[in-house]
Amino acid sequence: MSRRRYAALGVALLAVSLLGSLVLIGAALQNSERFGALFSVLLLTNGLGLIGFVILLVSNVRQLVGQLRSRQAGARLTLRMVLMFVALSVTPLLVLYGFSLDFLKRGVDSWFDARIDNALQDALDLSRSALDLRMRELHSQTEQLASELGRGQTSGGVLDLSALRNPDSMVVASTWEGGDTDLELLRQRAKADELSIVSQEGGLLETSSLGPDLVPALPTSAMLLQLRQGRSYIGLEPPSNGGFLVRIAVNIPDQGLASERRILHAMYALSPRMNTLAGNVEHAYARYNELDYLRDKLKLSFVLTLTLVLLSSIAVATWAAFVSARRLSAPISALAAGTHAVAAGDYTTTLPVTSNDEIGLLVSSFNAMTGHIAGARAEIESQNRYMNTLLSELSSGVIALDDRSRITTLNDSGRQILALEDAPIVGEPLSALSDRHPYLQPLVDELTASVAARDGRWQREIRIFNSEGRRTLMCRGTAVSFGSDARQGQVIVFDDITALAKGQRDAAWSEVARRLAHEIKNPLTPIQLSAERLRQKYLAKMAPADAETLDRLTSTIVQQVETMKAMVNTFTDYARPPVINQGAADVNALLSGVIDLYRSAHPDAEFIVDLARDLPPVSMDAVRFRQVFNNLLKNALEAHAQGTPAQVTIQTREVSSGSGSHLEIRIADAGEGIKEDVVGSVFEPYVTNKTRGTGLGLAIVKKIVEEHGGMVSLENNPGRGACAIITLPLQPAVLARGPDEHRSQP
Amino acid sequence: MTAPLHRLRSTLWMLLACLSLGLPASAADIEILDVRGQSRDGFYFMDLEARIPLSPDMQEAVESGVPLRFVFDVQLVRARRYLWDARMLVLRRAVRLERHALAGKYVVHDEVSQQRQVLASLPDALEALGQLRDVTLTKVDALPAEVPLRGRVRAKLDIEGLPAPMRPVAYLSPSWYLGSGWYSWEIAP
Repeated sequence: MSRRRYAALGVALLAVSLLGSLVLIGAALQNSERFGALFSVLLLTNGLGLIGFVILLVSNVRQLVGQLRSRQAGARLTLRMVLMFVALSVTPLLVLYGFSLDFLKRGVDSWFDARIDNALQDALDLSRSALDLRMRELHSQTEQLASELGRGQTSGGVLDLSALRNPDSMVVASTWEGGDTDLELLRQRAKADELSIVSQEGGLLETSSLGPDLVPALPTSAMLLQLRQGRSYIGLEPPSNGGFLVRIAVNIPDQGLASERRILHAMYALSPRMNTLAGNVEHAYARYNELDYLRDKLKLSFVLTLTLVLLSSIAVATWAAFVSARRLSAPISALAAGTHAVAAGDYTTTLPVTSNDEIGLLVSSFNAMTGHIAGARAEIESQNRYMNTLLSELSSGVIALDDRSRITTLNDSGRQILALEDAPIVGEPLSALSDRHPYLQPLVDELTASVAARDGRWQREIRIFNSEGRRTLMCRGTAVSFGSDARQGQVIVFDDITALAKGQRDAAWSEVARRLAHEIKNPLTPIQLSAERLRQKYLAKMAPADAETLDRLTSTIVQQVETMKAMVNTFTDYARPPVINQGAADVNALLSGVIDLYRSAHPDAEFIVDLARDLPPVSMDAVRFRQVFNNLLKNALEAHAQGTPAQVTIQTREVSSGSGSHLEIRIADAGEGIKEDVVGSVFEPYVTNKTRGTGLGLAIVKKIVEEHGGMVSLENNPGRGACAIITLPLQPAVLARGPDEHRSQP
Repeated sequence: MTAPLHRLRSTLWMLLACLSLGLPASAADIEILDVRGQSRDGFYFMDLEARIPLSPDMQEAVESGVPLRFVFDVQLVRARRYLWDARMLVLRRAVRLERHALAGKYVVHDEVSQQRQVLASLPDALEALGQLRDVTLTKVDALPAEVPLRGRVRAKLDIEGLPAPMRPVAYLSPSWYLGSGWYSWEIAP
């Protein structure tokens, strides 16, 4: 048996004993002879038991209040059940209590009736009258005896009554002797129980008794005083063992002046019949009188007992309500707790089945349900693991976004392509990517715009620039639905197509170059040869004026053909598959060499050189980059208007950002700047801001920079002129990978 | 009733008695006027004289036929220096006062000696009630020789002797508290 069951059994026994003692209290009130001695103890025991129950209830109520405040499962149900049980049990109890009180008061009052009261009083008066009559007869008889004694003569000294009272004294027995004296004869004749002759001071002179009593009754001092005043004493003695006694004391008439005055003291028993009747009347009157006096106290005691019964019943009922409510709500509380656990994701919760009723069936069903959910969850987790494995093995990056553009999935390939660290990103908004990695801002902007457009399927090519240089990502997005509602997310698959794009572009330009060589360059040589032959054959034969014209025209043809050849060669160079001989190069030294060449060629121009110190060596093809610097410096000088002093500023510096360290080369002029409409396309082939030129200079610059994994841009200065900005990665990986990568190009 | 039960009951009722502290005190207490101890014929006797006033409630109860029971607790104790007094003798004497309606008399009944005194008036009855004569306490031989002893006695109305319906009221009402403090006398060795 559990401790809780022991406690419940103990409280139940206490309740039974409490109610049992209340029954005894009721019995004690009705019959005080049986349980009267225990009345006070029972009353106190009940009071203390009641206090114990109240403490128990207060403890239960406090516990319940605590459970309600902590919103413990089942607390409100327990409260409702307790209130319901208490209301159901207390209401009839209160009704019963009210009616019982009324019945009690009416019942007690009904015991007393004025007629009974008068009848008893009349009976008592009647008894007294009858006794008075008998006592007067006995008084006359005693006075007659006293007269006879007064005429006769008795002798004897005063007996020592103190010696008589001492039972250990043997002196009295030898002093006093009974016998057929005159007094004995008188007593027998008068049928008295006891006759004594005493002195005026109360001393016993002679006595005769019917019974074996050694100590005769003597007149009290009050009686002696009354006798000395010449009045006889007549009194009724309450019964002790043998019934009522009539005590009469009279003066014995004087026999002479010399003799001492004596008193005759007589005790008479009433007849048995009179004794019985008088005793009954006395008993009934005394009992009724006592009950009448106790009427209010009796009511109070009954009310007290009834109130104790009520309070004990309420306390027991309330406690039983607590126990029952807890017992009934326990499985439901367990179910609620189990449901909470399941809601929190704990599917291993199993509840004990303690009963075979509907609650037990419910608990069994709950256990079966959690078992099924746990199995389904395990299956889903298995599928998730399979999907994660699949995603991690994909070479493409995968990002899944929910309806609020929060990242729900990002596979390993995606992290690798975007050059993310291992910090957790799942659950974060998409913007967290650009917050943590600014180089991903273009990607985030494009994805945000594409997601916002809510296209079913979309595809974008997005360029980012990270520590590994410029990367081209091909992103493909698809809208997906979550669950049964209309929430839509996106799944974006992206690939790093940097190498592929380069290969495609290179292949395209190679094709262009091949066509140019075939379609344009090949006819140029016959044109040039034909023009030179015309000139050689007819120049000497023609008139000087015509010869001059011919010479000028053929020279123009030859010169333009040369120009076209140079242009085709330049374009061929641009379109030619790159063969980069990368090596560690000092960018500052390379720049300084090119600048020195231009300084000597353009002594009027001002070159402001600001090169960063301690630049690390950069992996590059120095020959091709000299061409880059050459083109940019040439452009910068040509950007100035004719006749204005040229000013070119060259800067190098190392820039650190979230994606790593980069080398930044800035070449700025103080010219007219670039028109806004061509700013975005100046690096495209055949786009130029100048009246002369092939339009391939900046395109070649871009091509070479990109072949080195860098980026180049051109922007207008805040004040005057434009600035070309080259950004090159400083990562050693580029040094190792660059040549191989480029050599692998077709 | 056994002594432990009586002690338990007295202790428990102390709780309720405390509740009545805020009520007015009783008008008068039992006053023990004199106690005389004497050795005679090998026994130690005690005579006691006390004044027992009855409150109006008590007089009304007696006139209505409710018997009042008075108890006299007598102890012979030996004083100890570091401990409480050693009780050599504990004695309780109970005397009952009741009124006989038919005879119109008051009866004082000693429950131990079974002696009855019939008195015509209540003052006479109270006077008789307050007088104990020749109460045998112990044999003289039983008293320790050459050890100073002290006798002490107190009297009180026994509420438990009242009818059951009266007891709750009597315990809670100061007018029903009637008793005396301990009265001591020296017993020569």
